[in-house]
Amino acid sequence: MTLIKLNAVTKIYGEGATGVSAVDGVELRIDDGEFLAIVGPSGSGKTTMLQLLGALDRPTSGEVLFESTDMARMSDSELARLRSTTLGFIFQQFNLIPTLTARQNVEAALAPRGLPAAQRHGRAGHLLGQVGLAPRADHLPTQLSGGEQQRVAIARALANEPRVLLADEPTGNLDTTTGEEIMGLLQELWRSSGLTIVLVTHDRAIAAAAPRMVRMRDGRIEGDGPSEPVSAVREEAV
Amino acid sequence: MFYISYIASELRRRKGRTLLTALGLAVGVGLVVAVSALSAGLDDAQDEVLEPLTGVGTDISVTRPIDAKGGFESLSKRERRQLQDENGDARIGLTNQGDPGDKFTTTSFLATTQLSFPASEVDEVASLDGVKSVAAGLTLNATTVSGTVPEDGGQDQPGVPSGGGGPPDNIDFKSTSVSGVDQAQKSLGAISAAQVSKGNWFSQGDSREAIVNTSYANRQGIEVGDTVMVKGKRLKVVGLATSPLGGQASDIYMKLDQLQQLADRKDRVNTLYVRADSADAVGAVSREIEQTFASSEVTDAQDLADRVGGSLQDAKDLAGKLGTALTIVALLAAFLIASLLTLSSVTKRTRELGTLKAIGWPQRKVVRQVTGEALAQGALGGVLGAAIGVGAAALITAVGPELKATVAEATQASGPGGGPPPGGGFGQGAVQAGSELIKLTAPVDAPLLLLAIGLALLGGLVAGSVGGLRAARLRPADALRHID
Repeated sequence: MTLIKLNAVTKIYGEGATGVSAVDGVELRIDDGEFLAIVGPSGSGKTTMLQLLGALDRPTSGEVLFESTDMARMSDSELARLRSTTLGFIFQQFNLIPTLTARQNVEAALAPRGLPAAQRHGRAGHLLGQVGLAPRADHLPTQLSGGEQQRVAIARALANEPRVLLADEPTGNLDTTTGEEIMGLLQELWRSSGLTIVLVTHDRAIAAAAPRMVRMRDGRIEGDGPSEPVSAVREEAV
Repeated sequence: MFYISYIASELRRRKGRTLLTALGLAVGVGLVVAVSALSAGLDDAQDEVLEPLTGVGTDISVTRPIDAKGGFESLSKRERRQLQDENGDARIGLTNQGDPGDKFTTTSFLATTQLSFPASEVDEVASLDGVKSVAAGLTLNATTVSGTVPEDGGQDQPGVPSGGGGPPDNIDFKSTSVSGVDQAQKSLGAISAAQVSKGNWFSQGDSREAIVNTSYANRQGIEVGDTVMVKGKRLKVVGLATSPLGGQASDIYMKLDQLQQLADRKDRVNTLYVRADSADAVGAVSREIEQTFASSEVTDAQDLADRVGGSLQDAKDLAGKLGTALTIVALLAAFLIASLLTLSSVTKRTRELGTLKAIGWPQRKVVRQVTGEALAQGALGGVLGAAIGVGAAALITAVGPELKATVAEATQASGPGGGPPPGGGFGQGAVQAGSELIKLTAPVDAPLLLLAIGLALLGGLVAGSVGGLRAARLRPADALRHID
């Protein structure tokens, strides 16, 4: 079943002659429960694509349909509600709130729902336990390693039981081993929960963790198909 | 509420920014507290200066003066006749004092420019709306002439020296101001019982008693229990009274009916002392008296306040003008600083606010967060500012700078003899130039502290609104692209 559909989506930054087309007439369909990676070099438009899929930005033209509803026509508050209830985000820089503990960062995602404090507290603790960070729940982000911070970010993204997890270079700031651990966690989540995961990366070896790979260049999709096996990617790199 | 714990975490973990913003507001509102306390202290100081004057219990005094600034010759015939009626016995015929070489002593009572009126006007004034009580008084100059009847007697001598070339060498003049007081009115009149610093108030009987002004008593070496002579009558000094700042108190106070009898002014008075129902009623009562009693001069506490000068008044003017300007500038600067710091904070936290939007925070909650933080900083600034203000006020009180209060002379003609005008002042004889050193305090009360905290909260709200507006305008995608 199609969950998200992009119809001739174009996103132009700037106006007139100085306008830059970050996404250019993209057509894309993402099924419910799918795990796909969007790959491409820097400036290929993959992050813009993720922001359009995540209702963080509106296209200049075209439609971004979420279950047949055009997100471009939704109000800001409707988009905020969609992001709160249906979408989860993971960022390359983790984007944790520096003054809040790991638990409070997860609770921040639950705050708009107005849950009672005890319920919010308990759910945050449970999620941190799921990502293996229960003992570090009361630590500030600066007291956590990069991998731990990203785990907190994943727990936060999962707080509202989203249907789609959008990850922007989730391993970009991590060493290889930690990056693999994070990817392993995402794969496990995908397998166990049936979550739809859209992963943006420039690293094809990371992208190989997803069954489907969309390749972008200059704002356009230049390839869409099954991922290459990790071994093939590594051989190519060598 | 998560919102509260988030604000608390922000304030606690961004101490530098929190303190800077709170201090900015604190300095502003602290200045408001200090300047307001100083202003209140100056008001208190002025009240302290005026208190002895108004402390006689009088809100309004009513007299009926004739403007004789230009001298007797400048008066109309009617005014001259009135003055002559009041000062009819001012001319002393020395030939009437005995044969040449005889010793004599004679006393005349002069009202100078203060015309008398029937004591029945007390009842008329008392019947006016807003009047609580009225007391009558009679203030006169007792001029005693003594000496030896000259060989070439026959030239009448004026009662006071300015009338015609001065007295002969063998004639002495002594001028004493005397006020008649209704002894039943202990707190209203030319003198009040509260002013008696030594001895007692008049007895209610007919015994001849006097209360003597302290400075006069000092000059004359008079003590309680002594006697003073007024027109040949012995009065027992029952008390000494302290004159108010700048007030030319009469030298001697005696019972009104006894003075009226001695001065041959039965049922005549020349000053009414009026107490109003309330301070608010003073203005209306003053106007009513002026309208009801033609040619009367009405003096109230405000007239006195207008005559207070010296460094106290300078400081008061400074606090009123510069202090207000300084307060406004300080507050505006504090609000500006808080707003700029909040704006800077929002800019620094662009990615954080973008993340909140990305994880589903609606715009109003992001704005509420920024505004809440600024308000909390405002509250902290208010408390700090109140503490700064209280500290500054305490310092002013501890240092206690002294200010000189001067009460200027009333703009009123002196008598033809050049002496002080009897009556016409406030509750006493004429108010003349005088000064007093007042220790300045800076009192702080609860409403002032609440105002300080309120202003700081307002500053926080302004800053929060500015920051919140900036946060509201952030588009999540742009905010997430922001490089910290």
